[in-house]
Amino acid sequence: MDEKREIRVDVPVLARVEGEGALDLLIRDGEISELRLRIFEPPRFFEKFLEGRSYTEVPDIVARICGICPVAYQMSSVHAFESIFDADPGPWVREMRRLLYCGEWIESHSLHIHLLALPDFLGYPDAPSVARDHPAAVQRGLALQGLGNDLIRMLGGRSVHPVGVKVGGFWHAPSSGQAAAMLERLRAALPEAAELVHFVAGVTVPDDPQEFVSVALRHPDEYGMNEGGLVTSDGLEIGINEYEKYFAESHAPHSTALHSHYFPAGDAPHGAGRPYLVGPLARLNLNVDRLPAGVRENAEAAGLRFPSANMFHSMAARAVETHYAIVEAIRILESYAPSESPAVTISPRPGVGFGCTEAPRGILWHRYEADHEGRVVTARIVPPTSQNQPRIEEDLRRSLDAFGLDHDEEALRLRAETVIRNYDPCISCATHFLRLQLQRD
Amino acid sequence: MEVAMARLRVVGIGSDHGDDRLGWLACERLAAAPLPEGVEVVRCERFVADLLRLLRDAERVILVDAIRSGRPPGHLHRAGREALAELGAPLSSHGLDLHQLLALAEAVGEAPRELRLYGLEAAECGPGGELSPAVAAALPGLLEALRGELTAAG
Repeated sequence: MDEKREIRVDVPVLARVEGEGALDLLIRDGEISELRLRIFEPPRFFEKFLEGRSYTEVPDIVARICGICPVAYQMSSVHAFESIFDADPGPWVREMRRLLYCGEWIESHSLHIHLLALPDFLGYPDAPSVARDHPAAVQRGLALQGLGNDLIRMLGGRSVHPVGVKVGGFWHAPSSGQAAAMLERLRAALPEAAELVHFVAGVTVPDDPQEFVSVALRHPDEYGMNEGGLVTSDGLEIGINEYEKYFAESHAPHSTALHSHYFPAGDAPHGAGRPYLVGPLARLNLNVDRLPAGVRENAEAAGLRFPSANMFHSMAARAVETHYAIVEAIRILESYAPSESPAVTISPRPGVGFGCTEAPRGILWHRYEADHEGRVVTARIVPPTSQNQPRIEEDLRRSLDAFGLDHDEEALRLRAETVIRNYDPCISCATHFLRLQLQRD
Repeated sequence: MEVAMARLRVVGIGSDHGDDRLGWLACERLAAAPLPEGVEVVRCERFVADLLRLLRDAERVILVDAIRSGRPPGHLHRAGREALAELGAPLSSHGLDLHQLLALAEAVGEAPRELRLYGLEAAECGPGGELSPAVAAALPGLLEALRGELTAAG
């Protein structure tokens, strides 16, 4: 039988900023003949918008690129400018940036697990349905999310586009009282986070190992977040300044978005590139040995093993990282003292600098060229979602094949959504509203 | 930041993008005058992240947001809880739509007793843009309606 099915995802991605995102899937004669994922990417607009702006404006401008991970955009940008200006903000700022990032990981991961992933894996149509049957678990998730949000507010001024961050450090230091109150809340949440890991590990996910290359930051003596070199699961170790030799973006004909590929031979963009994975599972696959013993043992006791080739272990990886971020935030706040000078003085000079930090969804790479007054000459921003996009397409082809293309369209749609949401792309919300069109010849 | 119990909380949902500034702008204007006791006016900065927190510990919540429904730009919307199911999807910027967020808050027992939505039909929400003329012209009418709610609650 000649069968033609067309599944089209047509959803208002980032509706507030005129976005678009869609999955086009064409199944012909029982095989996938076309599979295209289209994701709108706001950073492209901002790269041009940044030209001519002073380095002092950049952290606030880039924070507006994404309402979900503003801290990540700020962190990659300040590190890049400090490398250009040869500025070292010192240990206090370093620790506070890590603390701020912990807030963003806790917040973003808790949201994803409870509002987006759990409905898929527990078999519910949406988060409210999960909440009706598992109110305690969802309340715990929302409480953790709120805690991460408040941690960002403590250091970032306001949580949506933090204003506390600047090149050289922070505008102001939290008071000892604020820090003590936050420490108390984090300590109270610690057993909840450990329990979350067990809860998530107990959720059945499809068992479908795949072959893929993981890419993440790696630091000599801590779990990679703000600093370190880039490593891959096939053995590459490079500085973040060498990124462009090994990773390149290209325009896919079907999309306004750029797709990133990994070129193991270091001949990007002319050699043979392949998809790669960034994000929580990639980080844990490469850095599980950098977790504190308590976090690692809790995950092992829950039955989790990393590295994992099962992409659906991403949800568990988010839970482990949530636990880790709370442990790390407690460690930092236990020795907290406000700083008289929460930022170092900056002397602009011309040059090129790089910043690469671990956003909740994976490495966020920035490159800036600055003039003698510290104004942006050129900016390049590579967000995690564009890096994962070819990997998502590869996964979709594989997963839908493994699932069985003869399933009805509703089942195919749900599996496609589940695969996409598992990467927590910036469209994860919108894929709740997949529209399905079926054509039969 | 903990939020105290409020008799009425007005929550402006917004962003830095064109008419989507509406929710924040309306709240700024409302908060410029003294507020009746038990009435709060706050900005919701991250839709999913902040809104759940702002739905807690309030008897009544009024949400203010730019809306896209196909009406002429500047059209004044007023809707009760039951009408939000239909408005849901176009209001979503990330995570979940408004209807789903409310259903979630209700499912965990953290929703206000009464909820209303006020808004203006948006024209332009381009990145970094200003308020469109149609929405700017309709803003005083929206503020008047909201002030009526504040006075009634005071």
